[in-house]
Amino acid sequence: MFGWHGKVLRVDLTNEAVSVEEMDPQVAKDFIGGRGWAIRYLYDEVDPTIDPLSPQNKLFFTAGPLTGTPAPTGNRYMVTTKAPLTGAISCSNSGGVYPTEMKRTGFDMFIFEGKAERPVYLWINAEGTDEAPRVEIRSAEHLWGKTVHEATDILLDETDPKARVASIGPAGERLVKIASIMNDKHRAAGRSGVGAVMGSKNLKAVVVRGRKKVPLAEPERMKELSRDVHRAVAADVKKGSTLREYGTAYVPIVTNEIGILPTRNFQSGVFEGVERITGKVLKEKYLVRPKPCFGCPIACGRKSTLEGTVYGGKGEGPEYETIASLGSACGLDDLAEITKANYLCNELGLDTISAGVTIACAMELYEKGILPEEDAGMPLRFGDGDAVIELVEKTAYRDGFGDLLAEGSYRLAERYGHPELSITAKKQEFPGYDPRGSKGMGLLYATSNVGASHMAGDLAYMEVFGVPKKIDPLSLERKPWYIKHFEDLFTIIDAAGLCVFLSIRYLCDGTYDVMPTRMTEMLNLATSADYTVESLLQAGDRVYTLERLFLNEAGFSRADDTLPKRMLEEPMPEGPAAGHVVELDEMLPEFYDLRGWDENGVPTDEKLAQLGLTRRSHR
Amino acid sequence: MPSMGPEFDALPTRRGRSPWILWNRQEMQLSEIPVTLKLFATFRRYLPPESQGGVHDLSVPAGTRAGEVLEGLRVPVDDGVVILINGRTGAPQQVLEEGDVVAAFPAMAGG
Repeated sequence: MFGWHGKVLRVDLTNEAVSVEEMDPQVAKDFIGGRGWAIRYLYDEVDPTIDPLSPQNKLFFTAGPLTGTPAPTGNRYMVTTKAPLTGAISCSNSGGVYPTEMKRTGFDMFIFEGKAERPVYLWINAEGTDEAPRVEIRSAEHLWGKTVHEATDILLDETDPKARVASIGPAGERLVKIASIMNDKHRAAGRSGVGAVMGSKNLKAVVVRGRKKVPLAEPERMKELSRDVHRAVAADVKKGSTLREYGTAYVPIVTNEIGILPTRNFQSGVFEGVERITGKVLKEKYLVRPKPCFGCPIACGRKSTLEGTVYGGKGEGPEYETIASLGSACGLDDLAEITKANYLCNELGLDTISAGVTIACAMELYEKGILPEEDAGMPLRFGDGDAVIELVEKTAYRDGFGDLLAEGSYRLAERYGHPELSITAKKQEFPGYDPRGSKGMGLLYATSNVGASHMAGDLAYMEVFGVPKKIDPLSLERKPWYIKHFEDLFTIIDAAGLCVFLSIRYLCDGTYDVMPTRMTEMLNLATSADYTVESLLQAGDRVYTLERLFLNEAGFSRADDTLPKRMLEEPMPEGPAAGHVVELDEMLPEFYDLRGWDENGVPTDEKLAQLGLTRRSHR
Repeated sequence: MPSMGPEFDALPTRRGRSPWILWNRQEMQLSEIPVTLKLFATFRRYLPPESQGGVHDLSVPAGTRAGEVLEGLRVPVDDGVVILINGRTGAPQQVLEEGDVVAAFPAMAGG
């Protein structure tokens, strides 16, 4: 096989046994890789009704056919599982260097099943290019309780300094439902509580070292095409690259201008302190240098420092999503406080988006007099940076009130009798775009297979950022089509092992239809799969639809494809989106129709037949 | 303000604005209107040095289009620019009105 190694590593943690399986070439092509392969296995092997934190759940680390190839940004991996935060699936994506190293072990996918009796870590060493990789399950008792940074340093010491580490922190160990899996210390497969699933299996870390080259169908032409894309990016960077210069931290000023920057638990989309939390401040005060993922010409990552502030320390970030959630959503206008909370999340293994929006929910409950101060253990006023920093730590350790925050904002707000104040879809916290002012994002949050997520089909590219073209965020026109298309497109990008930042701009056709032309070409040069643009989009649709079947069988239907009351009934109070709500009912029927789902949100038999999918009876 | 004579006093004044301006707008189309320009991200470098916090207040002749204001500061107005007018999606050919806030930034992925 080309592009894919065609090898799957299965790790039975209960019996501490590993085995290697061959991937069926037809399945490889039909499901592309990454997120696609994972759902094929998850659907076939995991009962959708199980408790996500039980040993019956399985955890998938998957690379795509372009991961570890010369394809620009071909350096992403996916974490898929039944998610504890939502009860749906997770599709959490991360970059850094780890994904390439993982692919170079000679495996495309790791499957973790069962539960180890004691804390363990996995050491996969494929240093020798010709020999079979050595796979060891080792004790992690000495690592349990350690932060991500501490554990990573110890693991590099006792394996290979050139190895790469994906690890959970104290949050994952304590089954915190918003716990992340961190790789390369600072990069996160963050969402839906994937870290808790790893913790529930007593799996502290997965360490990889590999030198196996990815076999390519057309290596020379692949190099040429990659060079062309690199050149196009380099030319833009020369003109002045916003992402290189400011990172995603440049975004708050933009979302604030159109009135969708989450402010005080989404009570507004306009934040008076925005000038103090934007990329310019990060650049002038805390930036050390831009830090690219492996082989990336953009370099949106931020190596930053808080030395010289009351907090001290160094790390990476913050990204836009973190600024919106731990910042404006909590009313914080001090970038040092936000950065400190970000560092803590990375070290303790917490998703910054869910952590911030959960704390924001607690603050609204407190300010409305619903959450008593004696429960919280402190006053929880919007804008109190010390409270946010303290609560991040308490959440990760399930300490005191943190034990409630660790369950995410929905369960917190429900406990106090006001679930409507939780700004979530399918119990997952919203990212940094208030959908009342970006209607496509509203439809996306409501229908996404992973709950509220921008990465499930980020139409903010067009509604906010003008990539590849600008469309009106307040209009409903063509939004159902766009969301269906973007969900399929982002599924392909995730499955291929690419990063969305580059893919939408440089690997699509630049028109309002956003067709993945160069992406198709690149996948064919890597795999010889002979995709056409149409068959590739259909493969994206196939993956997305199979994910939906898993959700349906887990009990999800139209009733779950919804948004909090605030988004549907409370008009945005101020700013350019003032007076707007999300007209979900106007978009949903057309969206279901385009997806080939019936009025209950279930894929029709006809649709399944078109995609070559069949329902399976689960046990 | 001293009286400018009966022909001016007879003109209606709105929102305390000088009758001069009203007269100019109606008769000669020569009046200027105040607008605010905000340039974000890498476009900040096009702002004149006297501007503060990425914001530049200026007067432009009535009838000026958003694209003309940007071009006046040498901002490249092409496919790669996103223009917002009062926070709503704008276009280079859009004629500006008094008090409009024009924001522009290079189209670029975010989030």
